[in-house]
Amino acid sequence: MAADPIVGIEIGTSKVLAMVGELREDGIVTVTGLGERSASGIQKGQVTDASNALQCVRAVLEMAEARSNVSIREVLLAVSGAHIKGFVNRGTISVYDTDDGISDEDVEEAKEVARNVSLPEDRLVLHSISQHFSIDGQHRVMRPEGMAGGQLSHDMLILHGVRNRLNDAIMVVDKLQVDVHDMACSGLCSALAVLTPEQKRSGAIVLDIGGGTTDYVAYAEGVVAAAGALGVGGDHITNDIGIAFSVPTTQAEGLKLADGSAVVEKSPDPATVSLAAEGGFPGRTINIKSLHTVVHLRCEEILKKVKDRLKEEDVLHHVGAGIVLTGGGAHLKGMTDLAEKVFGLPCTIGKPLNVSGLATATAGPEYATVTGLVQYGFRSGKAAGGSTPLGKWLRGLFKS
Amino acid sequence: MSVNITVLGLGGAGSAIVAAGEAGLPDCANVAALDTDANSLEACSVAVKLQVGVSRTRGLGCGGESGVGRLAAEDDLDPIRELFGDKQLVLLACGLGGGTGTGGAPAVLRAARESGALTVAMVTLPFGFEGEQRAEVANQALRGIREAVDALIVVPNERLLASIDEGKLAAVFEQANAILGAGLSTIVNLIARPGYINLDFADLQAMLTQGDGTCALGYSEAEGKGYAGKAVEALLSGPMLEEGRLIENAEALLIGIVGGEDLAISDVGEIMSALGKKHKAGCRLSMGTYIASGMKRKVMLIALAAETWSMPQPEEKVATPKRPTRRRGGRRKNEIPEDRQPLLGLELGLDGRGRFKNMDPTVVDGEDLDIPTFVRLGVNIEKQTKSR
Repeated sequence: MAADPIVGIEIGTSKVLAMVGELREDGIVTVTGLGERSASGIQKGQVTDASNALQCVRAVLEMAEARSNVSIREVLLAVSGAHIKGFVNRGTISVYDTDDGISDEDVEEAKEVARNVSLPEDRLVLHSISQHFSIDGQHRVMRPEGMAGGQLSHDMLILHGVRNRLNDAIMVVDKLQVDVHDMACSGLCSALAVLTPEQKRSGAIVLDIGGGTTDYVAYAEGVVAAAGALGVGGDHITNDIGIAFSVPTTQAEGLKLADGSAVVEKSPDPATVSLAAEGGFPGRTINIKSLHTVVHLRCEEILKKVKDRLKEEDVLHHVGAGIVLTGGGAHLKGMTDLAEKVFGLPCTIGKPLNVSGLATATAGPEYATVTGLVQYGFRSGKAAGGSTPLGKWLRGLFKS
Repeated sequence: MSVNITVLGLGGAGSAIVAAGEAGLPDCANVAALDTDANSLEACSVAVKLQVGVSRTRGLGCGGESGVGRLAAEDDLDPIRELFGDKQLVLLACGLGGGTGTGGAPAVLRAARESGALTVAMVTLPFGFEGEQRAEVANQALRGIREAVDALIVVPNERLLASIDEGKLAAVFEQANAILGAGLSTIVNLIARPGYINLDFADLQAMLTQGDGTCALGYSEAEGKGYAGKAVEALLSGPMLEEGRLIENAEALLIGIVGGEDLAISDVGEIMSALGKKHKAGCRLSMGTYIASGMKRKVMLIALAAETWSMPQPEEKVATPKRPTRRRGGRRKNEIPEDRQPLLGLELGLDGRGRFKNMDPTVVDGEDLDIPTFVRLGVNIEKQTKSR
């Protein structure tokens, strides 16, 4: 056994997941335990009812422990929510000793400057992700060491979130006497799990359509070019259906799953669906085309909003490999077709790569985040000892 | 330039409102009543009558089924279209909660719009005592109507009660219709008749397109000594405009003053300065007056206060109830006077947020994304297919 198992928890709007993974010698993560449960107490990725959320997390941890025979003491937490934002910060330094070219120290210094951002007091940096270097205005240099130049710049993508919102989720886990030793953005985790190195190089967008949020990550030329989240997800589709046809939420959810489609079918068969009367609900016959219209308009809007944001970040024309959909929303009929239409790029459903073990966990797009989270845990394993600023903050959080 | 106006009453309540206001309407306005119920149409005093949906209802009305009302109106769209001709303004009055008006209004309004007219609908929401189901039906219908109309004036009947001597049922309806009829005819008169201070069609159009076309109606009248002050006081303290709160919140205001030959500049000044103290800065104000006969030492005021349809108002939830006496007995979904948007009394559409109503809105580019996309885009979704 090369490394201790790593446990990832995703407290999602519709589902709470815990995954226990071990790292095999060949770099593949083997899933040895999985706990999942439909969530309550979470809305739009935020904890709204701590005691309900607590019960969910406790249940999935117990399930995962039982399956994997591991006693869970510390976990990694995937975080999401519309409050998570990203921007690119450029750090520039002057290279004084130009005879030997750019040194390792210069590179480190440039990174340090780029990492150093001042954010409002209520915000916390989640990730600082290295993008490119540029030397005297020559852009997109990957390895500047040894090259000649007077000025070295480094672009760093800073992802940050609202401290208190992140705290809410951590508190839930902490109440169970389990330590959160690192956090990662859901979207990044998904991308980590589903993209091949080739896709990252040629540029790809991962869209994780969850219950309450849609996280997006765009890779261009092998690095994360942009990332963020939109506070709209599958629950909004359900809510729209509920309002459009005056049906209760459970029926609306059922309609979405059974008959919903992101594209309006020309002549659906059958043309209508009947909902039986049940406990105060009078029953209804709904036109499938109307249902598709409601779902289509919402999905199209979600995709267009993400597209607009990526356009602003100027990354769309660096995307060659297309769109990869993850999260429960990827299952919605017609979603890939619609995404292809909106983005004008090929679209596939992403499945976690480089995992083995429990069949369910390795099969579906809804496990991409938690799988990627475990993979992230192994990758940043060196830092797990406690040197990341985020890790420090997490440990400091409950000391006082 | 004269304006071509059609005033339509749809359904029992709508016809009654138009009938009550007909006497005050100028000659240039075309007035017509539409109904499915032959008997009530027969009894209506409006000159031009059109019975719709004869083949469907056999002249017996819709029985409160809004679905039948919709189909009835759709059956007879051709004769309805003939009523409009090249009218530039169509005012439709109807009461929501029943069949003909509730179901038929969107179809009639769409037909009017297709003929190129600017459409204004004045709709009433049922009294509390009419029961919860009617309130529910009315609320549902409001959304469909809003999508089919340029401007929507919503009057919850309950708000009229304070201006009515409660007593016999027939009298309550009669007086409510009288107020609404007067409001309707005043709006038409302000546009059509020459007054000393003109309110023209463009004013109304600008006012209605300001905000997004939903407004509340305020109405008051007073006579005798100090009538101007009394009337404006009644307007500002009356329930129709939420004790003046709707004026305070309005993005745009349209004030109509109707007086007799003796209406003085100082009276108009008094009224406008009292209102000026109330409305917020930046409010677009239009004002018009006209002189009517039989109004000596008397003045009548109407106010249209524009509101924004989808203002997120999460903090308004804590307001204190204003009329506790009526809250217990006939509590209704649309009786939420505390809310700054009482006009939008849709149960779901109060803010249109459904399950997200108690959460921070997801606002992106100034849009509340929690509100269904189809609602924001104004796409009409058929709630239920008729299997009959």
